[in-house]
Amino acid sequence: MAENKEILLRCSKIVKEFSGNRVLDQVDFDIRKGEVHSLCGENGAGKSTLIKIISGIYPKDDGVIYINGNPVDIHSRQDSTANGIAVVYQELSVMTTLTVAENIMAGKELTKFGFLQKKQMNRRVQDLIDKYDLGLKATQRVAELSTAGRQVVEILKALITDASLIIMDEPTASLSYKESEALFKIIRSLRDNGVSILYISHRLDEVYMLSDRITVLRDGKLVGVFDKEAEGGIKPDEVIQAMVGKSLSTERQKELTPGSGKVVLDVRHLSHRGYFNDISLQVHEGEILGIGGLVGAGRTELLRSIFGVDPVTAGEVTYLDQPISRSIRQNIKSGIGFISEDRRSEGFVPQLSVEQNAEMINFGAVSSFGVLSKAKERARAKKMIEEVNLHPADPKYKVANFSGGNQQKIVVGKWLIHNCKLLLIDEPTVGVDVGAKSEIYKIIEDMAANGAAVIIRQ
Amino acid sequence: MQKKIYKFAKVFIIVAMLIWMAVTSFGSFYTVSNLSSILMSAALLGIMACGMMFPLLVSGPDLSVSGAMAVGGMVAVKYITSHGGTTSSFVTGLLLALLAGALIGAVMGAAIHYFNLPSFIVTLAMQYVLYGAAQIGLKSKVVCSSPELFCKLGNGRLFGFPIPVYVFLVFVVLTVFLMHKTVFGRKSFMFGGNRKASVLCGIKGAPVAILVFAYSGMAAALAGVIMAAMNQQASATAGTGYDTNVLLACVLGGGSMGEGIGSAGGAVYGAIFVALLNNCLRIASVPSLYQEMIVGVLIIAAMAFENYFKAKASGMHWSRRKKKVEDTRDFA
Ligand SMILES: Nc1ncnc2c1ncn2[C@@H]1O[C@H](COP(=O)(O)OP(=O)(O)OP(=O)(O)O)[C@@H](O)[C@H]1O
Ligand SMILES: [Mg+2]
Repeated sequence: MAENKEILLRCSKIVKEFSGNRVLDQVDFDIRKGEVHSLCGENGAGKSTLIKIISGIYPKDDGVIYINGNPVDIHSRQDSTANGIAVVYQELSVMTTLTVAENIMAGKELTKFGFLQKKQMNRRVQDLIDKYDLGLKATQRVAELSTAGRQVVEILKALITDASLIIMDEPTASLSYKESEALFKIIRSLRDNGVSILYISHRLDEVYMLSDRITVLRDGKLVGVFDKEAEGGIKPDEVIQAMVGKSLSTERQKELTPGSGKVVLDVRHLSHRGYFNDISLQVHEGEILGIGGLVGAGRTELLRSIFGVDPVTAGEVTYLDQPISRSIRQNIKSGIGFISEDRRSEGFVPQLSVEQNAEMINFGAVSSFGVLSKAKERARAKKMIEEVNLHPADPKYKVANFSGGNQQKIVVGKWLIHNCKLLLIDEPTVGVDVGAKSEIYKIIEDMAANGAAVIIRQ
Repeated sequence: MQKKIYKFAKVFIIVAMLIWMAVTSFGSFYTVSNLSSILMSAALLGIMACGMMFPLLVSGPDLSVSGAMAVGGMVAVKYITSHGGTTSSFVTGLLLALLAGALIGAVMGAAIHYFNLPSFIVTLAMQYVLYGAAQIGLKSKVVCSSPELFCKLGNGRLFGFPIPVYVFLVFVVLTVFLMHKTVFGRKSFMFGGNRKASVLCGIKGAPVAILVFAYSGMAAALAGVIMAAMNQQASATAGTGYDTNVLLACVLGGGSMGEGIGSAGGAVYGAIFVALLNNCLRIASVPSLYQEMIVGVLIIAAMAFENYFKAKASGMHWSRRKKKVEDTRDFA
């Protein structure tokens, strides 16, 4: 905060290359004690790489990291923990069968003569929860908690190690609006207790609201640091301009004409016991239907059941006046597409290239008699890369080596170049930057304008 | 860069073995008969390694190959001897053996896929079943020395090279084509690389799982027939030790345990490496028990190296204190 300008962590001239590609170029960056510091930049700007270096996953090629003014060597996660740096992972690593306290004290159990001191451990965790006003009970089972609650457990795990810096890489990506609000409250409370937060998110409104300072990266270079305390505060336009290198026209999305064509999908009284109950809806040609609701309301499950991934316990679905098939393969053949929300575990094959991932849903388009055609594969991948503006635009690059947002573009892109008559989309823009987000929506709108029906979960 | 060092190291080890032999036992190693025996065993190993690379992409090692070899040899020899050793009986016998191998693999693949079993256990169990079957079928050794084509398959030469080497080359071409040029091969990579994503893209798992094991079984049966032709007899113990040797070849060639990583070229490299290594050890008169130990140690070492270089190539710290590969997938 304002009165406390002491610097906690400073990176000086950090350089990182991946097989000759400079991903971080002489980045200087510092975090003060007790501030919320956001890292912004387009997909592939190098944000995740920078925090991987700070948290000891990637070695840096050059540069120095100082903590409290002293240069430190960070070669592993243990090193970063020892230096008071903790990371709240998106992939939550909590053990659901244990209680909150057991999760948090795992590996640091208090014992006396080899016996666990349950009471003491619970008390210690509860004290910590109360100190930051996190609204959990130490004796609660983690299985009962929502995603947001589990994230709080992860934060607690960081706090128990006396972390002075907590790094969060896109923490709100899978949270609802209300849950995000709760998280912001926790972040502020941490800050007021002197903990520094390094925050990464593509939701710029969150970033403006939370941050004391914002550092912007573009193509691996530092392009600006914005300070709330500075004259005039943080100007959103300037941040965006720094991110994309040009001023983004705030074009209004064009008015969509409501679909008036024939019914593409007709869902009648559909249920999957335990997930959703008695859902009826219709989508017409050229229509985009949004499904709202809270996280856990069964929206994802509804889409999965329609597509044939999950079972249906009651009700019926007709697609183009025919009962919909229960076979995914058949559904894809007849022009239905499905984009899963969980890109990391369901979206792509990491060690294969962009072009190989692009063809996954339609081998027919790139092969004849079961034999693949290189030229057709390449052409298809090129088309996709252009549509979603992939960076780097290399069809032979392994998907594992793309940044999170660019991986998402590949996941979405392979369906966008497929001629779908019905597209079921579960959160298409998780982790995608502002520019790409509007591009993806534009493609979806174009598809609808060309007669496709779209159901989209936001 | 890391990748280049790694590739260089792989070739270097082979060169080092050749130099070692040149220095210590030039006279016994660099003879036509020894070199062609290396080629022969590389051919046998290579055919099976090309086969096993497929299940290694999708679900894990196929340890039944030694049993499938014995059964393949048995089927072919029994058919040929009971049909008077004619050339046409040889062709039918060979085809029957390949069919038997493919069927064995298909059964395992189906069991692994439909009952969601670990391939390691299923194929090891199948190895026992097949050994048993071969022992029952071959109570006494069955000698077979006709037709001429059959003997040629084992011991013939063409332009100075043993016939099995040509069979191997044809098989490599077939495997490269299947693995890297066809939809089936691509699906194997995808299914091993990310099962859930593949299912959501409409790729059916059953045909992939069944076909990869069928291909491996067929390759093993083919090797079994060649082996029988070399010995001019079928024996139940013909394939002993081939399971680990083939696995070593595949692992050295970069095959994964069902994670969608591997290549036909890797299988060829591994086969040549293992054949050469076994020969060097024999010439250096290392007792066979030690040879087996060395194979075991090498399997572990090769996999450790593979993981190490994978971590390095993706730019991660090789944690000095904990000596383990850190997982980076937690970050977007
Ligand atoms: N292991 C890797 N091997 C090769 N290149 C990599 C690797 N990891 C990241 N990169 C490259 O480094 C660049 C920066 O990636 P990084 O993940 O840091 O981006 P980011 O700013 O986090 O983007 P996003 O907002 O999409 O998450 C990208 O161009 C990416 O392709
Ligand atoms: Mg990222």
